[in-house]
Amino acid sequence: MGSDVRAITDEEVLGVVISGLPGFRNTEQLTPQSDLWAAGMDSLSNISVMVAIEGEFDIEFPDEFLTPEVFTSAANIAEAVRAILGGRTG
Amino acid sequence: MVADRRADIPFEAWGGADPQYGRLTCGQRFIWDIIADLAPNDEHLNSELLLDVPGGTELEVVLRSVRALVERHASLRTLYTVDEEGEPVQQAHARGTIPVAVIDTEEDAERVAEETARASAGERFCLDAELPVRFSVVTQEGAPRVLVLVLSHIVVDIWGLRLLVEQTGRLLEGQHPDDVLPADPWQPLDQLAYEESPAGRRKLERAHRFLRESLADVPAGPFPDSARVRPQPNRYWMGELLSQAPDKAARLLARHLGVSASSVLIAVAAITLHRLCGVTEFGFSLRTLNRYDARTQTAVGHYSQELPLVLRRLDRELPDIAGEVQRSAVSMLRCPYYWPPEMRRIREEAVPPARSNATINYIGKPGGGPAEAEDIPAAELLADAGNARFRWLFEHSEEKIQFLLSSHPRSLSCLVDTAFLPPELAERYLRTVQDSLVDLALSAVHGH
Repeated sequence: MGSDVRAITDEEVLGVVISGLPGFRNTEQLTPQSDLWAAGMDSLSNISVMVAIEGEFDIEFPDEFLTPEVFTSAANIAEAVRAILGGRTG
Repeated sequence: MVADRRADIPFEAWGGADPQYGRLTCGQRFIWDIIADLAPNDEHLNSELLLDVPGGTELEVVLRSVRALVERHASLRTLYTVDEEGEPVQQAHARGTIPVAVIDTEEDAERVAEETARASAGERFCLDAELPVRFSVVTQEGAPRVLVLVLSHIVVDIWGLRLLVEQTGRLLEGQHPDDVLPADPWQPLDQLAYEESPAGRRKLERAHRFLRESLADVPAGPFPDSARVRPQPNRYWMGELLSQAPDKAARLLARHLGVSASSVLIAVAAITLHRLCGVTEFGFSLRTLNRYDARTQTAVGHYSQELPLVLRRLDRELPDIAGEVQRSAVSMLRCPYYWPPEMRRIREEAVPPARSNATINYIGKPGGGPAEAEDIPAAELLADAGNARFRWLFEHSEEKIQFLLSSHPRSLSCLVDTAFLPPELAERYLRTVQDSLVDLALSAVHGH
């Protein structure tokens, strides 16, 4: 909450992504660059990830961010979060 | 069915000694309002679960399983009343007894269990006076054969039902409750506390904002007045196409198009309404599971609600419409909780008032998202479609909606207002949705 945009790391976002995927196996093998769709994320669990990220960082994804590409990896999501928080403060 | 005897099992709540009170959660209030609207004829909303008891299991193990479920899941020991202001409230009891009917039979235990379930589910729940779940055990020569649960819809949506099936099955196998049941399950009053927290309130406000924008744009009922015909004496009919083909084809197409199976099903349902019934714009409510918050995924409770969607220009191709459904659904499902009385107010304030006359309910295969969809051979799809069997389930004189389409892994069902979809057209509608899905899947995925 009230996250500092500079402090948000890809690894931190990966942790939130994994918390949004409680039924997933082998999450310890995921890295920030892992393809989440290839790892088994579907449209349902994608929304769980979105909800977890929005809750953790107290943000709302604008519609233009709701694309499969943004949610391809934790690193991409982290970039989006930083952009949203940067836009809010800047 | 008369029970031979009744076992009263004492329970003591997991993690708390005092009863807990609160207003209803958004999901509970949603189903409470539906039950209240239908009362006193709401018993068809009750759910039945029949679980085979493994051979050699003692009755004591079955009763211990029942007790463990009730102690761990607060929704199974919650009563509902109305306060002085007419608002429904819940009270999760910490102690009490669970009445379990024990029926010993020399006849076929499965059949007796089915009759027991049907008789029990045929009686409406007094939600202010009895536990919202009824247990019966069918035994033969004292050995338990089938455990029957009948649940009020306020206790479970389809997600909660699946959790109960899985957990009860493992308990009946003799597994220890601590190995089966979540140590700290998310309870209805946890959900209420979240909804009343600053973060939860922000989400609610966002959902209501979304509803105000969406409901300003919802067309009146799905059917044009020109389609009106003389209705049947019992105006509302529910029919079911028993077939796995629609769900399998939707999942295959979903993977091919990169969208969800529900988006495919909704798109084909809308296109078929356009082609068969002259519907030009389709406004409907999409029933959503609301289990996107990971904490809620261990919860036995009712979280499901409905969100509005409108599809226009139904003469477009499937990928175009399914993609639109997918984008709209992803956008709205981020804030799916809303307070039903507020939703009603927003509906009434819309110009013209936004009536909800159509609903789609997609219940997919557990764990069956596009990423997990197995390859389904063309021959299997064709065989499933060829074996499809249609039947009418019931007729009602009163309903709140004109059209309800439900998709399950093994069936596609439809509640219709026969003033707009006469019975023969309703059957043709379900068969056309199935055949369209299969044709599209064979063409897109199998190159036929």
